[in-house]
Parts: sequence; structure tokens; C-alpha cells
Amino acid sequence: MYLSFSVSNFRGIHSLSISHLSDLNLVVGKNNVGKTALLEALFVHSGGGNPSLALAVQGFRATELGRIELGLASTPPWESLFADLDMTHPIIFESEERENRFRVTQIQPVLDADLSKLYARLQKPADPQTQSWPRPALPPSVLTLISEEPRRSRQSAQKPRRRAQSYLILDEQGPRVFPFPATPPFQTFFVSDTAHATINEDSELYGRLARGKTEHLLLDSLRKIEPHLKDVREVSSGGQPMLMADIGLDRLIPLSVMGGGILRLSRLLIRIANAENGVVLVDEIDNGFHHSALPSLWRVVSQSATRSNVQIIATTHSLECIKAAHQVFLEQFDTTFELHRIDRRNGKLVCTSYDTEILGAAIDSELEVR
Amino acid sequence: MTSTYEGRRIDQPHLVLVEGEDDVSFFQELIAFLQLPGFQVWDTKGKYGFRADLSAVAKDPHFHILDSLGIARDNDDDPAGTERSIRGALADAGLSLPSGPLASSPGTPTIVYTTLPRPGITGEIEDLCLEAVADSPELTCVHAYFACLSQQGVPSPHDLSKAKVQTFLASKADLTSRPGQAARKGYWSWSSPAFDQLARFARLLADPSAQGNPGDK
Repeated sequence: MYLSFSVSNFRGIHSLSISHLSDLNLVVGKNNVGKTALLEALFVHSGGGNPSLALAVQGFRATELGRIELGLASTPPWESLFADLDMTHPIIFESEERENRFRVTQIQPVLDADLSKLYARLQKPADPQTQSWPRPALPPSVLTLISEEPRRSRQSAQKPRRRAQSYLILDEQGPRVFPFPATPPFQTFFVSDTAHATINEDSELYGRLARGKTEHLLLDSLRKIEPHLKDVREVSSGGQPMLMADIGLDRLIPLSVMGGGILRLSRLLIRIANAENGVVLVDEIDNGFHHSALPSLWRVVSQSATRSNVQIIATTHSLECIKAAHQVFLEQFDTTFELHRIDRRNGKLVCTSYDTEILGAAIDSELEVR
Repeated sequence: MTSTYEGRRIDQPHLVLVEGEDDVSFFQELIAFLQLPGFQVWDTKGKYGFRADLSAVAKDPHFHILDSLGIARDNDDDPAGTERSIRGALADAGLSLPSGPLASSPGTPTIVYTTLPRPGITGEIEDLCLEAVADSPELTCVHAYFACLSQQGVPSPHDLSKAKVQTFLASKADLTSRPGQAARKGYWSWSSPAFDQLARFARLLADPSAQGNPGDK
């Protein structure tokens, strides 16, 4: 779980630091200040040394997935991860975590000059006499992710650390990661605003809960928002596993038919339950919910997160969502809550954080907090 | 889901924080009399919510447009405690500290604070109002009225200054009971020396380079 996090040269963020990260965090700010990019950065950093997550976050912004056209694209598919599309400056993420751990992740493209060395490690020489390696016919694109061995204090940052380096390679053989990355420090899920291609993942994650006999906890939470819901079941339809809802009719209906809000909440709660001691990142958490349902949303999210010891970092534009969160977390002494607003000032991004008391004062005084 | 926000917004270079809605009227009238442009006056929830209120203001997305921030609070019966409270709240909000009352802090926004009726003196805004009308025939009658009550064995009100101001205002044709409402009706003479220190407070906010010494009258 994160206590603080800083980002350099990622998407539209040249530099941003966010501190005072609590159990539940709401990130607000005007359009294009980097709220979603912050979540994406946290997601990539959470993966430890897995560079494929850098490509995964391109998929969260659904339109960017289609750009991966090896050999045809004039730019690598991760170009837009770099601030100002400038890949000469590395992306750097730094975090302080609750486990008294400080981690640094650095992402940069591999230059042509270093590709031979990399391919030498990847493949045995084709011709042992000349010790030459078959280079791909099409120019490969390679991204490397360097993760420093975690430190126990900021002070030790000066000392050189062991670094694990992993590569995401796009060539004729398709995308692959080399070497196999280390296990992430904790489980992290990203719940994107764009509901795409997660049906299989939903079913798989729900299956894990069912196998652990904890799916009833999910059902209890969902009923607080949708009282007509009697059961949720994983059913195979046309060879595809999908989640179906029992609402008392003579047949089950797809969960998605119950509306965007309940589907989104299901996806969120399934991931919280599967992310024990980890982090769940949620873009536009209030999307699909009527304002009157927002206090209930926060209650079930808070209860689920507390039960699984999961940190939530979510974005919103909605004042109703902020007020609902504040109202709920005033009553809950065992969960800390913080609002973080990102502002662009004189071309630089700054983050302002509000604890529950100061947020309450701002809301009571009708001050703008978004 | 988004909504249009129509709350308070910092849109002037000078902001004064006072205690309660009536004090807002009082200071707005004083600033209008002094013809100082670019001021906003906001109320806070008094001494108990002041720390959080000040921090919330300091975190406002438009706080950076301020040239100066002023704080004016009643001393009540604890002048030293009031000043400690103001300085503590400024420190908690991460704002710069002036050297004392009626002094400008370095940096932007510059911070100026004062306490009422005057720094180090017990009392409240009503004491300044009474001082401003000390020579009026109405106040002579007010003093006589409370002296009479005392002679008759009627216990004094808990807040005698407030009671005297209300009694003074009861003598006016257009009735009101609060100093700020009375200011709106023009019942206080702003040119009275009683308001000199408040005027200096406002002028310091309008022009922080007009630095004064703490405790100046």
C-alpha cells in the first residue's frame, strides 16, 4: 500500500508528487491534469518489474490498443507513455509504501546500439563460427523497465542498489517479456472507465471468490445497492464464461443487463475481494451511479476494502461523489480518507490533499475542492 | 457525473476572514468607507472551526491569486489564547507567520492578523462600537439604564458590551441589533479614532509595503 508516490515524464505529467495517501483516496482536478495517468503510473509501478504493464495501460485507453502495428507503425506503441512523446527522458516512478519500503521504477526505450546485446542474450548464435545472431527482418521495438531493489529508508537512496531489468520486445515473434519478471510486491487492479473486454477476467476473479466460498460477501454488498438481486452465478454462454444475475425471474439475466452502475460495482468489488493487502485503482468511480446511491456506494466499497485490507485510489469529477465520501468517512473511524486535487499552476502540476476534517470545513464553507 | 459549482470562489486579490456573517457586513462597510478596492470578506465558523476553515481556504484552488490574507478575530476573555490560536492555525495551514498583530508576513500572499477590540485587550467588536459612540447622548442613556438595572438588583448580562450595543441600537429609528447590520445602516462613524487600528489593518492588506510596527495605535 502506498504512502506517497511521485511520477516523472509519464503521459502529460512532467513531474507530480502525491503524499498522504490513505486507505481510501479520491483524486480530483480539471480535465487533462493527469488523474487517469496517475492511476496508470501507479498500476505500472505496482507490477514490480513487469514491462508489459506499460503496454497494458495503453489498452485501458481503448483507442490506443489498435496502434500496435509492428513494422508498419512509424513510432513504437508506447511513445504516448512519454511526456511530450519525448522518449529521450526516462519515465520514473518512486513510491514510499506502508511496509517501510521505498521503490523506484524506470522505463525507457532500448536504443539501437543496445539491441545486439539484448538479442545475444535472447538467442543462441545461429552461426557458431561467426558468433552472429539472427536479427529480425523488421526493426524491433524494445522497452525496458528497470526496478531497483526496494530500500528501507529514503536515506539509503544515495547508495547504489541492485537493479532488475526486464524487456518488452515487439518483433516478428510478437510481443514478449524477457526475462520473466519478478513477482509484484502486491496485487493491484485497475478498474477503467471504459468497460471493455473484462468479461473473462470478471468470471475468473469471481470464480476465485466462489472457490474460497467468499462470494456471498460480494452478494451482500451488491444487495445494498440493488435489493432485488438474489444471486450471482458464473455461467458459460457460447463458450464464454459470464456473470449472470438472479433477480427472481424464471431465468438468469446477464449482470450487465442490470445497468452500468451495478455491473461496474460488481467488477470493482470482485477486484477488491481479490486484491487482499493490495491496491485497487478506479477511474471515474461514480460513473453509472445516481447521486442518491453514492453514499451506499462508498459504504460498500469501504467495507469491502477494509475487509480485504485493500487501498483504494479513485478519480472523480463529481462534487456529489466527494460529499458522499466525506459523509461516509466521517462515520468510519477505522478507515482513513483523503481527497487529492491536482492543479496545473504556471505549467506545473501540484497536488493538494484534504483530510476529512479540512474537507468538511471546505464543503461547509462552500469552497471549491475539485 | 458532474455538477455546476456555485459556491464561494476567491476572485479578488485581498481576502479577509472574520467570525460570522455579521462581522462580514461590518468589515465590508469599513473597507467601502476606506475606498479600498479588490477585497472579499468571508466568515469562518468562529474559534472552534477556525483552524480547519483556514486550512480549507489555504487549499482553495484559487488561493494562489491572493496578494494578501487578513484575519480578524475577537479576543473575548483570552487575548493571548486568541493570538496563539491564530498563529497555530496559520502554521497548520502552511502559511507564513507575521511577527505579530498588525504586521505583514513575508511572501505571497502576505498575511496580516489583528484581534478585537485591540491586540492584547479583552473584549470584542462591540467594544470598538461602544468606543466609537462614547460621546453620543444615546450611550449616556444606555449606561444609565444598566446602572439603574444594577441598582435594582437585576443581574448584569453575561456579555455587557453586546447588551449595551443592542440597547444603543434600540434607540435608532430603523431597528437592528447587530454591529454589522448597524454598519450597513450607517450607525457607526468610521472616522472615529476607535476604528483607526482596524483601518490600518485593512490598509496593510491593500498595500503590504505600508508596514507598521506591532502594537502601533
